Amino acid sequence: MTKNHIGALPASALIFCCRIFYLLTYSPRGPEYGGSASMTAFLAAGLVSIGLCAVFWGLLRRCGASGLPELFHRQGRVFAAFCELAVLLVLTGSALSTVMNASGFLTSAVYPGAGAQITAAAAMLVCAYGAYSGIEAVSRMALPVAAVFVAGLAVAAAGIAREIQPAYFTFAGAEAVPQVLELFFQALYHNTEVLLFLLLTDKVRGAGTAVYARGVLGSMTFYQLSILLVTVTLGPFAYVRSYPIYSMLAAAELSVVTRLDIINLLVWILVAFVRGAAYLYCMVGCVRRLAPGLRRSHAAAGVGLGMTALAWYLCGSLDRGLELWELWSGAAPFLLSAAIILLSVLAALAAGKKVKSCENG
Amino acid sequence: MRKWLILMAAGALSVLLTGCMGAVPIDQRMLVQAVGIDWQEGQYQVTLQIFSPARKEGESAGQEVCSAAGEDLAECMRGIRLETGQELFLGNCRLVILSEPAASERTAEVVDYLLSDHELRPGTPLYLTEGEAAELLESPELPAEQLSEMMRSAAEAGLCPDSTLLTVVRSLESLGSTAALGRIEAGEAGGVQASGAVLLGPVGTAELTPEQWRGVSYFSGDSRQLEYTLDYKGGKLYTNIAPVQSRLTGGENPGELAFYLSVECTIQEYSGGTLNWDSAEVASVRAVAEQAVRRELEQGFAALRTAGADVICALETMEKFQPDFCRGRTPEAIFGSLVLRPEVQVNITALGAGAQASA
Repeated sequence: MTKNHIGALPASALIFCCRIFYLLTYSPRGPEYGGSASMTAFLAAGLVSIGLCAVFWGLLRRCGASGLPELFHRQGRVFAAFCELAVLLVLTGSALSTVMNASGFLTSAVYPGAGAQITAAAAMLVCAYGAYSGIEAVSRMALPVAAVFVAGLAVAAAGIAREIQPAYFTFAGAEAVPQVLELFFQALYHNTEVLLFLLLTDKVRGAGTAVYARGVLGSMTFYQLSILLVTVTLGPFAYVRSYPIYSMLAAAELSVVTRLDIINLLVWILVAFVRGAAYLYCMVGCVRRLAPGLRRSHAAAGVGLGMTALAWYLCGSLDRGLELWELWSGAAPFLLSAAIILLSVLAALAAGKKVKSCENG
Repeated sequence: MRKWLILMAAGALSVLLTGCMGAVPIDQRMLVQAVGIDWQEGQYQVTLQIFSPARKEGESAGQEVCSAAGEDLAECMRGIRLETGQELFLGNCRLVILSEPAASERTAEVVDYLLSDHELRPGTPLYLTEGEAAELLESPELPAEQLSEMMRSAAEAGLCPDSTLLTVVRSLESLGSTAALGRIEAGEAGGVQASGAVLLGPVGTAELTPEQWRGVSYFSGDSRQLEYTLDYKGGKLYTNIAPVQSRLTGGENPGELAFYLSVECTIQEYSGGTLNWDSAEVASVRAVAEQAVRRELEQGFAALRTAGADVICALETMEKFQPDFCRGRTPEAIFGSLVLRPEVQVNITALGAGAQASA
């Protein structure tokens, strides 16, 4: 039996931080995609992802497994290698999109003209070190990060309250259904946290859907609040900004702390670190399961350096980064994750026997 | 040994990645206090009032002015940088003044340029002037800080809007495509005159009187306390009125805009003698105050409707509450046909020390 390393609350905080990552670069493309349309879509996508997690977790438990990696090995080494490689692909894309998204924001909005390559490479190295430190350290860091986010949003709301114009918020009617559906599927496809959670369940004390659901419900709540705040304060100005949440915080001022966009920056860096480190940790686990003789430190170094080189290459030109983003913002990661999970469950049920779970270390 | 290696690596990263390499010493930065933008004969003129720690003869203590002309704003800023050899820092800018031609004819370009600078706060005050912005900023008696404070006081007194880059851009992007800006003009006695104006696009601007602007300001939900002088029983009743709650919705009938406003009123002085402050008197004063506020609301709204300037989100409100009325009509037609139904509730909360009661 693998030792449980993470408490339920830090695990939920980890999921929370991973989920709010994309909120910080939320951008409604136009009035028909903003406000209540976004809120409805993200709420629905969050609830569906909880449902999916419940179904997948139920299937895992039916197979008698405490985590997804355990299922991979029930049909033999070849099948296990195939699954691990597929998981590695999803995790690689998610980790890269995390770091490159963070780097893109920093070098576009905050420090225009700063080197995107060095920013992405440095961020990836730091995330790799976080992964090497272990998932317990990363998940314990997620708790204060979540608290800073919540406190920061409260302070920002106080600072921007005088700009609130309720007239800018309208309820999406029937004519907004195509946009809501589009946003719903985009939000659902961005969700690789179900896979992340199922990879880490054997490390979580009292793991179950409730842990995932708490993280998702918490992130959804703040998605709703943040989008509402951006809608009623910036109004149509939000549609012409690349990072409207950042713009809102730049406009929020309190006499003591003046501009509050520093909060966005601080939270963003911390959240990107937590998310990147979590995905890299799972990547190290995949590599070690593919090559059982590899030491943890060597696997971590290999993954860290490899991903840093990849980030450096992709950030060398905007075209390469955009190609990855366009691929990763589609259905590919989500469908691949779902396919891996279902395939391994079916294979495990077909195998019909329990095997010793592998040590993840 | 391993610990020392890690510490050295951490130290090296801290030194190399802190971003100090591109730092500009403060004495090589121009701390811009105010920006003035004029548009004349197909050219921009940008005037910057900058903080100067060293006094120079003939200039305001602590201020310097520099300007440059060019075909676009970036060229003007570049010209100033080349002339002075210093980097501009707009993070401390207290206000931006646009001349009327720059604001009305080059709105998109000016606003886009101001927004593109990430140092310039979205909350930076943005004002209009009928004359030249350069003239205002070059005046040694009007440093940026004083200009900014004067306009803020005028806005708090309800004489002009508290316009910032954010409020102007947000308003321009709204359905009304207009914006309200504070107008600042140099006064004869060396001070400034503040009023409100609405930007109408290439056709220019329309001015609102302070009374009209005060009526309009109620729609913004601003909770500033305003001084009101009411004619009452042959005397003057000096009051403070503070909006508490406001709500703009669609009215019961098509084309009606309903506005509910609740204010708190404190009576300071009555110059017509003494009053018996019983419930009947208070009710009578309340009725007079309600009438005065309603009149200003209606005058302000009428002024906006005459100018065709929706700066109060009336169009968004009608789209939300009366979409059938808006369907098939242009924004101009909708706004021009709106009828305002104000409902004003005055709550007299206190009598000031000067409100004498009869025995």
